[in-house]
Amino acid sequence: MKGLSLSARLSLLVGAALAIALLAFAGFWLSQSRTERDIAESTAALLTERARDHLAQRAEQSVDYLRQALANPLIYVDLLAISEIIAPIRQQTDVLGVEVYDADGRLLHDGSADLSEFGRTVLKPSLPESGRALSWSDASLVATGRIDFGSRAIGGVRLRYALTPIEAAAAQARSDVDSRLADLQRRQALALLALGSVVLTITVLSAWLVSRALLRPVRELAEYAQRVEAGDYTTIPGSTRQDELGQLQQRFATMTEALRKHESQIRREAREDPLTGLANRRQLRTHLQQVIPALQQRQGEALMLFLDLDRFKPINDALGHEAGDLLLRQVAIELQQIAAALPLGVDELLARLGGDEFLLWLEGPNAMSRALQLAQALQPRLQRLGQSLPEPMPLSASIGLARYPTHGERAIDLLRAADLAMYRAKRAGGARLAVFDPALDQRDVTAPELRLGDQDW
Amino acid sequence: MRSGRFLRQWIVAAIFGLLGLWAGLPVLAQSDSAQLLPSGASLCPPPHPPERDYPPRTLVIGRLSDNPAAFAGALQPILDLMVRELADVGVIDGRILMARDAAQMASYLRQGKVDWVGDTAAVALQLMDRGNAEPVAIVSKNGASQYRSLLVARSDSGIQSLADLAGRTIAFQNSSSTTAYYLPAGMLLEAGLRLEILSSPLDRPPPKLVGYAFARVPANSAAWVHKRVVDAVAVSDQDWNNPKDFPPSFRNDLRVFARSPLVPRAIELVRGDLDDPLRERLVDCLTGLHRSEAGQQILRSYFGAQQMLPSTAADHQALESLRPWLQRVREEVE
Repeated sequence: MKGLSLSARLSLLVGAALAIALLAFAGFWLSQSRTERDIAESTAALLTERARDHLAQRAEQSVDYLRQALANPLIYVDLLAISEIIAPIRQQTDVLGVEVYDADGRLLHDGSADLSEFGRTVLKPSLPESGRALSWSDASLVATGRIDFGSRAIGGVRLRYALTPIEAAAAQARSDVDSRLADLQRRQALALLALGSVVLTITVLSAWLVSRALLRPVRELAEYAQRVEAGDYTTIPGSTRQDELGQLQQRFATMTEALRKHESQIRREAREDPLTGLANRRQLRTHLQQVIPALQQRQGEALMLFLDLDRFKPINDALGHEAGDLLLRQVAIELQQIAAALPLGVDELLARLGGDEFLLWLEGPNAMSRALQLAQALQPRLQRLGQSLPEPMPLSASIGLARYPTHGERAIDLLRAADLAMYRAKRAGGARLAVFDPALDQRDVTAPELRLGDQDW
Repeated sequence: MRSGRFLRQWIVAAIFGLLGLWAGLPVLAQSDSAQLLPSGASLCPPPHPPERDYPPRTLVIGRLSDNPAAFAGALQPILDLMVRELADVGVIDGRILMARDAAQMASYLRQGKVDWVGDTAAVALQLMDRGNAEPVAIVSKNGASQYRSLLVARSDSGIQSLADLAGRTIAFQNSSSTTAYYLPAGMLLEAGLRLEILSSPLDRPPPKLVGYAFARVPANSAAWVHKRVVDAVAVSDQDWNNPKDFPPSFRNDLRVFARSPLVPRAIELVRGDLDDPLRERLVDCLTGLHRSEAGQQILRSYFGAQQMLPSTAADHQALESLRPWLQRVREEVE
């Protein structure tokens, strides 16, 4: 079960329930059928028994009557009287024969018109003290009675009854019971069928409802989760359901939204300088890794400007850390305004490397002119910023410029070149722009300002 | 409202209609049943208006029988008819009186309890002798007013004559039978044989004597002789010729070895002191019944009678000729 899906489990459950119901129905049906068959058999047996009892009673009554009624006719050998007395008994449908015999066991009368058997010796039975005996055989019942005159036996009477009417009646009863039971079974079968259909319908319907109400939302949530995992934060439709699943879907949507915001913030933080909102060193690196190969491909040119505020450290120490940060933000705003005015192309970027160092990447044939434009526009703005400080101080920037591919084809080379140029500008008093000159700057490779290593990139 | 009144009128009409039907039904039923009765026409109208007013009386018919219930059905129709026809002589009612034997019936006759009785010749003689009865009519059946006694044995019995019965057995019917007792017993006595009664027909007789038993009915006689219960039987020629008693299968094995003279078959008697107007009207009616279809039907129900003939002197003579036989049987047998 552990490895099965919910819907498979549900199907199994429904199947098991149906199988159990089917088994229960079958069991009920079988036991009912068996009971009915037992009833039919015992009814037939009971009827046969009753009919036999009844026949035995009749036979005894008839024999007793004949023993009385035949005594006088027997004494007088009144054959007509004997025949009249036995006639109504002979006429009974199940009486096979009536035989009246004398003391020697010879037939006196059997009810026939010509008495053709007269005098034939009839088996003389030994009778019990009661003078009456019944003997059953497969096909008949023989009732024998002794006829007495005082203490002397003067003859006897023997009645033979057929058992076929009893058997026929029992068979008829059995067939009646059977046909009624068959009728009953038909009705029961219909009832069971109807009940089964209802159970089946209810089961299938409830399974469908459960699947619709539980499984589908769960599956949908799983799909959404998969999408979120793949980075697709498309808003999940909120559920109108009020139950636990609705709450779950709502939570899921909220969670997805939170995830989306969180991720976008992380992404932004990864690319932005948190103080100024400019691109950070990492984004710059990524950017250059993308644009330099493209430049190489089309054999384009580009400029890298390395900007460093002059005398920022004393300002920061004098004004405090917060004021330093505020100043850096203002510088960034100024830079952004100037860059916006240039304006910057898609592949161009303004970034803060850290501290008071900024970097500008420009491409295209008019890159140099725009670089100069920026350098010119920047110094007065910085000066104004310095004057607007609580303790007005002179503020300027040293700018180093390196050219691609002339001063390096790799970002690290270009950055080193621009950095060296910037140091040269700073050494010259700051507030100026210096273009990298291998002849002037190559000597300074050991200069302490050269802080960039390959591992930074 | 209007329809309600109509409905009420209909219901009232229906109730009255049903009441009318209910009242009318018995009338219809009566008219139906009236047609089933014989027409009002008298079978024997009185020859002249009654001479005087007779006191109301009940006509009593008598019969010897040990089975009254069976005989009542044969007597009732003719009694009912007589009651109806004899109103002019004061008869308003009828009754049947059964007697077990001749002596009892003779006593009834002497006491005036029985007006009219019918029986065979031997009984008639006894009733005349002991009950002062007078024979008034002879009954004829199957075209004969006389019959005789036949003695029958199995063809293979070797019995050829009365004398062969010595040391054998014979069955009569009952002790008041003319043709099945008195006549044959008399014949045996005449032939010089002696009779001795048996306790059972199966008993053997004493040597040289004729053992006899009563078979009660002709059917028993027939079976007894055919099945060798007895050696011979005495029956009337009337019974001998009745296939119900003697079926062909029996008769083929039997033969008649002796016959009696003819005697009157059945005699109607009245008590000797019956007043003349009633006796005349009764005899007149009985002897005239055969003239009408309705009368014949009534006669047939009276033991299969065909006609009643006024008794003649010859009939009286024939009866009287029986008297010595009767006396001898009584003396020597009983």
